[in-house]
Amino acid sequence: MHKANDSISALMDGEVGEFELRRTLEQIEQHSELGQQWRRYHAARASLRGEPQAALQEDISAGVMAALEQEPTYHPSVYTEAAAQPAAVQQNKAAGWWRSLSSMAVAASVTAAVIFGAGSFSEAPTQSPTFYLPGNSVTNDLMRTRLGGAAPELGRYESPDVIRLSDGLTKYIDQHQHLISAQRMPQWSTRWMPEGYSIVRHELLPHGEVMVFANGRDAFSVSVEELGHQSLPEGVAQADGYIAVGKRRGDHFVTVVGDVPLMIADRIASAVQPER
Amino acid sequence: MSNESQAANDQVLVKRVQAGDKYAFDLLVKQYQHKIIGLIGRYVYDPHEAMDVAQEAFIKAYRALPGFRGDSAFYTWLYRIAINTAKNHLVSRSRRPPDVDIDVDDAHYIGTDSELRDLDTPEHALYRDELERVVKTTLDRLPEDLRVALTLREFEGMSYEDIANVMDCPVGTVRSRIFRAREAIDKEIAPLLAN
Repeated sequence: MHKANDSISALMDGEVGEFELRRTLEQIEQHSELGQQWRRYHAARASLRGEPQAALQEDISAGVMAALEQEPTYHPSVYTEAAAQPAAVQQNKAAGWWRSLSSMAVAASVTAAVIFGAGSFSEAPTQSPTFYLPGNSVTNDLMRTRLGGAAPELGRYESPDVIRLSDGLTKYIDQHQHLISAQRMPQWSTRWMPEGYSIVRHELLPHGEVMVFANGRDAFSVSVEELGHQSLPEGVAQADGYIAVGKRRGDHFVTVVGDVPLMIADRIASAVQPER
Repeated sequence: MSNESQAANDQVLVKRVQAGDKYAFDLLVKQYQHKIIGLIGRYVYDPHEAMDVAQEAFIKAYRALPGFRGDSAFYTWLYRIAINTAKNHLVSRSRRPPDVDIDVDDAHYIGTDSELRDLDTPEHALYRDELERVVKTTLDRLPEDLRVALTLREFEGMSYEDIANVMDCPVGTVRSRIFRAREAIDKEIAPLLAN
C-alpha cells in the first residue's frame, strides 16, 4: 500500500508513466482508502494555495459514480498516444527516463499486439473489450441489416446496425468465455530476471499470457503462447532497437521483447517456467 | 503549481475516461468536488442543494466528455458546466440567478471577497480554516529537505527533474521527499476530512 500511496503522490504531479498510471488506477479502484487519500491530497494542495473549497467533510463521488453506472463506457478509439505520456513529460521534453519507459511501454505493447494478433490483444484491462470484425476472408459472411424507420429510437451511443456473423464465431466465443472467466490464474512465471526489474503487468489471453517487467527506466515483455499460436519462428529478430527472442518450451512458445542485450533476452526466455 | 501543469495532469485522466476507464472519472470528481461545491454555493445557498447540483454537474460533465478535446483546461470546462447547471437549477426553481457573475477563467481563485455570496456556513468556514491552519503548521514543521521539495512543487510548479537540479539530488529522491511531505500532512488532516 505504501508503494501505491507514493504513486498517488506522483500521479498528482503528472510524474508517472503509462504502466504506473494503469497500475495506480487499478489499485485505487480496488482500495477505497487510496481514493480517499487522493481526495485529501488535493484538499491539502488547494488549502496550501488558498483556493476556495466547501463541504470538506462530504464526498459526493460515490453518488456520482452510482448515477453513472448506467452510462456508457467510452470507446478506446478516442484514446491517443499523447495521453500515454506522463503529463510532466509532455511539458518537459528533457524528462529522460520516464519518457523512455513510456515509449518502451508503447513499443512493447505494439510488439505484443503483433505477436498475438489484434483480436486477442484487445482485452487490455484498462480499455473496454473491443471485438473486431473478421477480415476480408469472411466478408461474405457478414450481413448488415439496417433497422427500418419503425425501429425504436436508439440511444445516443448505440449503433443502428445489427451485425450477423456466421464464420469465425468460434474465436469470439473463445474470447468471450475467456473474458468472463474469473477463475483462471496465471500459469507462467520466470525464475530469473535482470536485477532491479519487477513484474508490472500480467495479462491472461485466450491462448497464452503476457508478462511485462520494468525497472522504472526500461521494460521488457515476455509472451507465452500455446504452440501454433505464435507469429514468429524460433530464433532472434531485431528492429528499431528492440530485440526479440523466440524459444520453444515444450508445447508452448516463449517470446521475449525489449531493448535488453541478446544474451539477457535469451536467458530470460530460458528461465520461463510453468507455475507449480 | 502552475495552471499549465494542472491542466496537463487533468488531461491524462480525461484521456483515460475517454479511452473507456470510467473509474478515472471518479478521481476527477474526488479532486474537484470541494471546489465545485464551493463554486455552486455562490449561486445555490443551501449546502445540501448545492451538493445535489454539484452531483448533477459532474454527471453532465461525464456525458459531455466525448466532446471535450482539451482546447481549454479541463477545470475551466468543468467550472463552466457547474455554473450553467447552477443557473439552470435556479431558473427551474423560479429563482433568479444573481446579476453578478463569475468569470470561469478566474473561478479557480475566487476568494471570499467576491460579490457573490460564499457558501460558508459557520461549520464549513471552521473546517476550512482549521484545515488551512493544520496544513501550514505541518508544512512549517517538516524537515527542510521535505519542506523545500514540496514547496517547489506546489508553489513554483516545478517538475521533479527541475527540483532535482535545484536540490542537487536524484529525481527518485525528490519523488520520495514530496511523498513523505504529503504523507506527513495527510496524517494530520485525515481526521478533519473524515466523512
